[in-house]
Amino acid sequence: MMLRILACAILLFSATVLSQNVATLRKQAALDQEVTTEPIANEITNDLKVSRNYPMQPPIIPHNIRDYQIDLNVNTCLACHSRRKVTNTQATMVSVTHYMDRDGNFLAAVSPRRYFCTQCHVSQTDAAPLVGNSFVDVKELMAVSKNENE
Amino acid sequence: MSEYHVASLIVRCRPEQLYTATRELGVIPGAEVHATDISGKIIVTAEGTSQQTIAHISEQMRIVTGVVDVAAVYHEYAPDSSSPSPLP
Amino acid sequence: MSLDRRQFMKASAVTAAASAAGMSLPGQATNLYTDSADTQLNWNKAPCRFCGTGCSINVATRDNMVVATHGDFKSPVNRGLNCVKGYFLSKIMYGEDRLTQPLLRMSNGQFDKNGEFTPVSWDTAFDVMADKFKQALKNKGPTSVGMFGSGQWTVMEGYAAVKLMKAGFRSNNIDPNARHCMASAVAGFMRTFGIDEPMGCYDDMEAADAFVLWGSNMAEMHPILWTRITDRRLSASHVKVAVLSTFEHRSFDLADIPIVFTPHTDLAILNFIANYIIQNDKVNQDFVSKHTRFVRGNTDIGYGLRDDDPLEQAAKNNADAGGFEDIDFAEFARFVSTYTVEYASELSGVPQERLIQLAELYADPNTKVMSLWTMGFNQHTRGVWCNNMVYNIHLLTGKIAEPGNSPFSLTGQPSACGTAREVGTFSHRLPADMVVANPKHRQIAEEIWKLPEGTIEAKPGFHAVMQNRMLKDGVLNAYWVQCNNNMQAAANMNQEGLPGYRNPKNFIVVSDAYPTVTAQAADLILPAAMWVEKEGAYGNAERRTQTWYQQVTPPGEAKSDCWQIMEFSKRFTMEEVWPDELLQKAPQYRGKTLYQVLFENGQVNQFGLDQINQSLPNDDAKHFGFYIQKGLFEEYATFGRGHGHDLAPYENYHSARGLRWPVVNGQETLWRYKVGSDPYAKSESGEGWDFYGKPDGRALIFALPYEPPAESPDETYDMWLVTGRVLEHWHSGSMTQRVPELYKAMPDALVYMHPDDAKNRGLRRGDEVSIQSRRGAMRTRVETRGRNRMPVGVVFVPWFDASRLINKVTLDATDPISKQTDFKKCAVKIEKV
Repeated sequence: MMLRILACAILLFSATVLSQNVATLRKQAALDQEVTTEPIANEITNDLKVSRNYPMQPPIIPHNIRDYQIDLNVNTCLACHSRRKVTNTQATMVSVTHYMDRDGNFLAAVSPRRYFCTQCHVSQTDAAPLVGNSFVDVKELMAVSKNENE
Repeated sequence: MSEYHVASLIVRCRPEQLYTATRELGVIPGAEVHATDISGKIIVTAEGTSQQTIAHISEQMRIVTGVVDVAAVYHEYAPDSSSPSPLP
Repeated sequence: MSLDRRQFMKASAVTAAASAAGMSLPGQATNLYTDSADTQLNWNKAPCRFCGTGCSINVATRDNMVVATHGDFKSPVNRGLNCVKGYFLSKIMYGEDRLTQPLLRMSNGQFDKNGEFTPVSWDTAFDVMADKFKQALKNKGPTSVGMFGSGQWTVMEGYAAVKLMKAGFRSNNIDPNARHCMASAVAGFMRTFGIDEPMGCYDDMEAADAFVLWGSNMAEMHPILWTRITDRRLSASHVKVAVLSTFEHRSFDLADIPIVFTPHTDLAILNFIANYIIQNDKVNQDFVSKHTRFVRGNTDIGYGLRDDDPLEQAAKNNADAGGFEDIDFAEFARFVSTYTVEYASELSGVPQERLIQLAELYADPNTKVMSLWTMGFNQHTRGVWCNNMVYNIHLLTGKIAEPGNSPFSLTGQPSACGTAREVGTFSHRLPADMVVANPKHRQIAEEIWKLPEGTIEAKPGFHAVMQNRMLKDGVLNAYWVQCNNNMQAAANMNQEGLPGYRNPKNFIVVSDAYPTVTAQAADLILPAAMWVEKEGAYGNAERRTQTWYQQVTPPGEAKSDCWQIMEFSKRFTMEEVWPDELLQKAPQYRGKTLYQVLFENGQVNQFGLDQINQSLPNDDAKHFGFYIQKGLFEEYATFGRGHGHDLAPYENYHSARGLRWPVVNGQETLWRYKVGSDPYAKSESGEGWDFYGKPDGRALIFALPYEPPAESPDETYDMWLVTGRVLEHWHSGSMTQRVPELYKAMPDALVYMHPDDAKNRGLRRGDEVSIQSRRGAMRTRVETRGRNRMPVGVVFVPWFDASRLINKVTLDATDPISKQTDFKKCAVKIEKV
């Protein structure tokens, strides 16, 4: 497949110029050296929705969640994202899957198994990834196969 | 014989108005938003039956609130004999 | 003009603009796919690649790429759910720095320990590697070669590795990274019950009235099991959750009884509970008299440090750390009677009423209790004791092996149970709980493997920590690391691991999918296939064995660990690895290769290519010409069938969402040792319990004391350091740090500390600091808020970050019985830089 071959070709090229320090996540530092630390990355808080890599991916949180309480007493997330609150808040309603119990029955409220939002939904910082990722969106694969067929 | 024209444009808007600008761009007939970037960049296509329609669409983009610049990147056209319905 | 042509023009326009703007596209613009074949994805199942929970995943592929993953609704483990890592499994194989060909350190076209990594062919790689292994075997014999494997190996890979090392090279120097993770749990099971792995299962979570977390942050480390506990706690108002830890973490958000204790004093709390049960007359006398036996374990057993360490020289019983002698109930009661609530509270810093609330959960006969633990117990210089002592309180009350009453040891790796423990990839073990030191066990293994008597060495090999020490000392010289990142994971990297790997006497091979810290320390790097790039099987924490098919092909020349092990074995003739006296007993093996003896033995190669899944790739089977995965699995399964470890026929696992062993007559076993639910448990009355792992059917209750940790804070090194994981990254982060969404959620390892500790050192959030111990230093930034709330005097640093290696600082003190390192306690100081 075209996109994959391209990624491999880049790798082959870089492999021939490797040094002793190959651990990509260490910014070329030898193992007995300390890597300079970047300041703590800032949370992205622009409230812009980011498209998902595939439909089943839980959306990331595009706002600050510091000091959000999610415990036995309170769930701050549901104060905006639950079904009855979204009219006022214009937040995204939690997915319908969240109203299903373990056996797939629909409940009147969000299922307790989905109570701790941050197990699946995470906010993002502005840290720049150290390595690229060549995951390809299925829509791009579909477009490529269509063009190849023409 | 009619023609099919497609152009792509990079629209720059003020980042804080990205959301509203994107929505307004999307409702211009013949325009379609494909990607946005938090710095305020928006990738838009314009489709039509002539060079003039494309120019007209891009003029409409310029007057959207928050937009500061519209730059055309790519323009391609082809004869369109089988157009099932007239494009805007 | 076709609609497709238009779409193509439009797509080109969009691509051009995106590229000019330096933006990435979320996906193809148009939505007009009118042919259902275009939107078709191939869905198959696989277990998750990460923790020991063993969630089942649906994997979608298209054009030889994984394009989507989600939780499998059919799986009883996760019922459609995943944690954030699991949801991003689709992207773990696509880090742009995947290794695609072997890399050898070379200068001027030759291997050079100090040379630059240079791409070579598999042939060259194996030539050099075989030469180094042969040299070591010839010069110093089998104890000079070794292998460090993994609880992430598939069952078949671990099994092939054990055969190569223990039967082929006749070296017991094979150990998995599960030594750092589960060894204390294993030794705990073996000492108390005589059989490894939990008696209960995850179904206990829907049946229990109380949950007690002993040093486990399930909310982050076992999120899907935490959803089951949350479901139970929030659905039934009488249910209570107690969380014990040395600092407050996310699991405390669900805690009715939150307990932060001084590091290491869990030993005293456990004995206090036993004492409380006895003092309040809550002992289940009937159960205890029929099913248990009381013993007193050896004390003053040392800390598993090097022999010349003053702590080891002072210890009385480090030569017989696991020894014990019989006592009776009265003596046990007397032994724990000093652990009063006053004493336990004073030692642990936990208020007395909290301790009593906790003890009452166990003492109340009407409360079904599930105890759960992971690294807080296991990574502990008295980890085996902790395991034994939590069983004590379940045994005293008879709360065991029935729905909801369940002491449950959680695992950290996807196949720590299935591969490391059940296959027995430890330096002292053989498959199905057998050990090399037992002549009968060696005989059974030799018969199944068709080897002459005396092939398997009786002396256990070097365990994980010892391997690093022996590398440093130049005793272990040819060393192969597969499927783990031990340079980043093992404690005391500066003084043991790194000097060991870089010792000029040694040749180090590392097989991995990515260039890890460990790969950088190697001499030869071999590119590995991962996860659904190969067919395999994993075993999770509740004894559930799960298989998956290969679904895509690996990039470049990357190969599975199984392929690597089996191909490498072709490079050795029997004369090169076995002495003549052994070959005299098996003359039919003369002139053969190790590959022929180990893998073309009429068993491993008995299933043909006609049996593989024809609609999916199986590169390994096609390469070797037979169904290697089934052959290895079935030969391995003969060890356990009929011996309490029964596995189902291999093909059954491809349709089931896993089966919990022992699988007898097609039925899985949910609760072991309970007559009626476990086919191996027998009693005259037809009810009750049978702890058949012990000859007399009785589980052991151990009298064990509190003993201090190996290192505690003092004036110079004035803080406790705790290390561990985070939700977003799995172990050393070699997969998850390459997924942009996970990286951006948690990019760096920070030091979590109490605001007062920061203030007293003139530090503010975000300041750069140096964390120093007697062994090394590491730089990071201060975090005084966030998900962990530290007590004064304790700091937490996760170990996922390749650029901030906290294991330069940690101490390689181990539990003297299990040889598992204590990563949860050492003394450090923190200074601004």
